Amino acid sequence: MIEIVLVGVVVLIGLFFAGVPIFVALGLGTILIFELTNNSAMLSNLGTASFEGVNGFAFLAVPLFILTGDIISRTGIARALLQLAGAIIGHIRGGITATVLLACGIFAAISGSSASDAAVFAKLSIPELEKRGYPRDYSAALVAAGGTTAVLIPPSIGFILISYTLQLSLTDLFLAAFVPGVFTLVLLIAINFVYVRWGPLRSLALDEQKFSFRQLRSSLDEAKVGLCFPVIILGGIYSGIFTPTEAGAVAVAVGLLHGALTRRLTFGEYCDALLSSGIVVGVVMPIVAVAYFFGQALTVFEAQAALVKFVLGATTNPVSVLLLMFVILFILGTFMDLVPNILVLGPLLLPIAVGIGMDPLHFGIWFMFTLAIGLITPPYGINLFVVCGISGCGLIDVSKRIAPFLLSMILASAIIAAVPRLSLFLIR
Amino acid sequence: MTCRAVFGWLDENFERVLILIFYSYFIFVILVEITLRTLFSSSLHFTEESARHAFIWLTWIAASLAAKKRLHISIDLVSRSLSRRGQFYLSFFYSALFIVFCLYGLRYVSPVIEAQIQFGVVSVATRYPMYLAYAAVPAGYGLMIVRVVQNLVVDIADLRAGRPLRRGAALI
Repeated sequence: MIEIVLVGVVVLIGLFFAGVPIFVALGLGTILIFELTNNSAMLSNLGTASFEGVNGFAFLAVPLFILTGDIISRTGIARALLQLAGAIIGHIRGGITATVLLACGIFAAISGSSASDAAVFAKLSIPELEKRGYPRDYSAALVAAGGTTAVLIPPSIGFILISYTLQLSLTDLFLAAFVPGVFTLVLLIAINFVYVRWGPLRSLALDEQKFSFRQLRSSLDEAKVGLCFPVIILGGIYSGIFTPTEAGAVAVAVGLLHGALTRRLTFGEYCDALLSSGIVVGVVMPIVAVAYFFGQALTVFEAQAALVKFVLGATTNPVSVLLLMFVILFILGTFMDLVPNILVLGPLLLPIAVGIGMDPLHFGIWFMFTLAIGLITPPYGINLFVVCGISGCGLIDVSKRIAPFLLSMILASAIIAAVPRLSLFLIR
Repeated sequence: MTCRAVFGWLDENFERVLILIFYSYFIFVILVEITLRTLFSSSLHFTEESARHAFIWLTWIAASLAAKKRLHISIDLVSRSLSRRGQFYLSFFYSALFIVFCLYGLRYVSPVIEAQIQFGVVSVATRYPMYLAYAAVPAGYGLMIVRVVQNLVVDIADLRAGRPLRRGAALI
């Protein structure tokens, strides 16, 4: 019977690589599995799966954490955050590049979408970097890498999906991800510093303006509204006052109120912001629904158990198993989108991770941080697409510049895997 | 307004208006719920459930808008390497698969809804007819079929007129 599942999986992967939309490919692959086994009872679950698969209160946070980011970039708060980051580290030699990464990281504590983080700062900072002489393709790669922190530092749409598919508490995931997220940001900044100051761009890394307390204070003043958002969202969730969904709604309300009071947000812009984050729901959630249907096929044919037996039958050495999982996640991350990767691979790999004695929460964190590498790897990396679209650079040119960032993220994944305490010490 | 103008407006705005309504609704009720809870320590029984159901409507209506704008996540490496005519045949084939999947969706959600109407199933908390919530699914699959067919018609016109075939814009 498991062979039929394999046939279905091969067909769906084939359809996807041929260019069929992922949710259609996943749906047709699953339908094929049930049609070949004449399992009409399971097939009829497609109807309820299309409803129950997306019927969760936590999912409502998905558009809300994009909408908040959209509102604050429309009302000038994102620019204020960028200036604040500049006042903090802009004075160091080559610091303007670190400024961009830091601003992406602060924005990541407000927004849950890496693509929108990258989009916001590609628009704001690529022209600025160009004025200082940095090549456009490097700046684009820098922003693409900075944008990945939006799914690593909570709130994160990635963790909403992981919480659902791995049955882990979303609040725990958000708490556990905080330190590894900030750690990855620091690593990105550090390795980028080395690259900018001693690498091929060293002639551009000039002494910037002097550090000044006055400037820091005035930019803090400008950015104070923006800094309220992480406090509301993360503070609200961690203290248990809000569920993540409620925190998203409150952040949206504060953003709207601020936009209305300062007259920086018109009703038309409100509608635009709603539509652009609403359409993301229309792209992501059908995949969630169909993945739920696909998950039923895996369960019926006990595919997870078969995979665990297959992998752990070959080796039970934790390092080899982790390496194997890393290679799978890395390769699929380069070709597939983050959303289907989380939904399809999560339930398949979790039992293997548990089999080698990994804490499920630790696995959830490592899984996300490893898959996030795929956001900046060609041929399929959403962040690369976003920055190429905005900067007008070619995918290949930007991809040639991602090496230092790729190194940072791979290193982060390895350290998170090796040091469980990094993810777990806030929880246990 | 002429009939044509009405259809033109609906074609442009139908999903948008519904998205704005469902999306604003659930943000609003969540905020009402939080306000009641924190300021008055009370709670409405229908907010959580109706917010979820509004979200399900948002999902499937937005899925239709995404189909219209060709935004559903796919890899276009194969298609990019083909001639214009080749691209058209490929997209024709994929559209057919898309429609087949939506038809499967419609086929298997209808008995669920029929049963809900027949047995008068109501939602757990608010007790409105459950088919009102479930109708989001056939509405989504049905609208997606319409949008995919519309795009095919556009593609055929583009092919005949010698114009390049359209692709989805960036999502964000």
